Amino acid sequence: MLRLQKNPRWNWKREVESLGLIWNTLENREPYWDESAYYRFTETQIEQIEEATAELQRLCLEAGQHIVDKDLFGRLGIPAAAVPFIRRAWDEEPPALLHGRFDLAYDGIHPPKMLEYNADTPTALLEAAVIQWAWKESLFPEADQFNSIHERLIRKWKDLRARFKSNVVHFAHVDDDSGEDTMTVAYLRDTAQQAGLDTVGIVVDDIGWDTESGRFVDQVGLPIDTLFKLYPWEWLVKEAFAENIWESYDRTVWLEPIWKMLWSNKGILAILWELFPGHRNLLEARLGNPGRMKDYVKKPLLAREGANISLVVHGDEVLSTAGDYGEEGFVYQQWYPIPEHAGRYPVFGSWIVDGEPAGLGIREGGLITGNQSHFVPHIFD
Amino acid sequence: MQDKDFRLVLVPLLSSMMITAGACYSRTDSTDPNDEYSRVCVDRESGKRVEDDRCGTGHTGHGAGVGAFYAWYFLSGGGYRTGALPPVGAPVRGGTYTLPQGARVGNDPANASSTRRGGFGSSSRGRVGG
Repeated sequence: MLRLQKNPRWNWKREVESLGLIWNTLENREPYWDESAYYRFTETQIEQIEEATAELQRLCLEAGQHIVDKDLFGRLGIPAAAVPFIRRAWDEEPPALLHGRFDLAYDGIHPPKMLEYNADTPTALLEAAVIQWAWKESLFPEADQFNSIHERLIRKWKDLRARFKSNVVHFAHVDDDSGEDTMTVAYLRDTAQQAGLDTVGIVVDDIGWDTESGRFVDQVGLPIDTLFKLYPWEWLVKEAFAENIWESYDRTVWLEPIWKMLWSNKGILAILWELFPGHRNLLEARLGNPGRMKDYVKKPLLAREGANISLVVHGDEVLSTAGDYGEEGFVYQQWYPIPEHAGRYPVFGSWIVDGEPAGLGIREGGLITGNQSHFVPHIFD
Repeated sequence: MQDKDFRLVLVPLLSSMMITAGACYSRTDSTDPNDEYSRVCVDRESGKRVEDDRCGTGHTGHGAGVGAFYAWYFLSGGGYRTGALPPVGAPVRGGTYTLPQGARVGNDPANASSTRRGGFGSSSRGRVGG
C-alpha cells in the first residue's frame, strides 16, 4: 500500500463542485477533498479489505441476533419504548438499503481492524461513490478502484421499489449550511430516481403529523409512505414526534429500519468482542470500564464525528475531543496505532450496500478522525 | 473494468443553486418567525411568478421535466387573503426562498388545522455526519 503525491487538477474545485461536492474546503482553508495525494493498493490488498468487510457484516448480523435473543438493549442504552419496534423490525426485515460504512484501521499487511460501523446515517458517500471515480477516470483511466457503490445503490432501489406501497420516496435531511447533508441526500435521490422512483426532499423540521389520518405528511400535506432519513434514530426516538413513530409504525417504511440502532451504537463493539474474542478483524472492547487495557480509546455509545473521545496510553489520557455526547455511556476499545502517512492518520471507510462490500473511501486526519479530516482517493492495479 | 454512467440530475442542479445562492435551506434570523407568510410559485431563472401548479407537490424524478426549476417564494404578510400578491408573470421581490423556522404559510394547504409540525429536528446541531 503506497501513499503517493500528485498535482491536483488545475480546475479540481470546479470539477468536484459540478458533481455536487460543494463542501470541499475545510475551516482552515485546506482542501477537504484532497487530490494532492492518493493511495495505491495491490489487488490482494483490496481483496483483504473486501473479505474483512464481508466478514464484519456477518459478525454484526450474529451480534444483532444475540442482542435480540438475550435482551441486551439496556446495556446499549437503547430506550425501552424503541425495543419492541426494534424486535419487530429485526424479525420482519422491512425494506432497507442495508448500507453502511465500516471504519477500518489497515496497514496494508495485517488484517483490517474494525474501529466502528456507521450503519444508520453514513456520510462521505458522494465522495466515495462519485467524486473519486470521476477523479480516477480523469487521471488514471486504465487503473481500477474498489468502487461499485453507485450501481449497487441503483440496483437495490430497483429491488425495493417492488416492496414499497407507492412509487414516491421522501428523503429527509437536516437544514445544514455546508450543504453536505443536503447534497448527500440529493445524491441518494438521484440513485432512487435512476431506479424509477419518484422522490421528494424534505427538511426534517418540516415533517408534519396529521392527527386525522394518523400519518406523517410532507410539506404540502401528502402522506409519507416511505421515508429515507439522513437523521439518526437515537435523535428521532427522543423527540416530540417519537410517539407518532410508534403509532404509525405499520403505515410508514423507514430507511434505514429501526433495527439499525443495534449497529450504529458503539456498544456493538463490546458485544462483538464478547462473542468473537480474538477475531482477526476485531479490537478488544468493553462496556463501562477498560478492564485490563492500558492503551485504549474511550468512546460514547452514541456520538458523531469524533466527539467526546479520549485516547489513553499507558494509563494516561494523551488526547481528548470536546462534545456533548456520552449520556448513554461509553465503550472502551483497544487502541490500535494507525500507521501515519505524511503526518496524517488514514481511516479506511469500507462501504456496504445491500449487505455486501461495495467500495472504499479513505479519510485522513489526526489520531481521532473528526469533521476536519481530508478525503483522499485511491486506485489499485 | 467497471463502466459507470452517473446521469445525476439533482446533485448538479442543487449544487449550482447552493453555490450561487448560499445554503438552500439556511434559516434567516432577521424575520419574526411568528409572522404569517404567503407563498407564490416562481421561475427561479426569470424571477417571475408562475402558476402554483408548476411547483406542485415538489416531486421530481420519473417523468418530471429537467431544466426548468420552480420554487416557492415566501412573502411576508397575509397577501393571499387581500389579493395583494404579484400576478402571474410579474417579477417577485421583497420576499425569500427560505422560510424562517416556525413561520406559517397561510395559503399552504399543508397547514390544515389537523397537521402539527416541528416534532422532529430539535436534536440537530447542524449537519448530521456519520
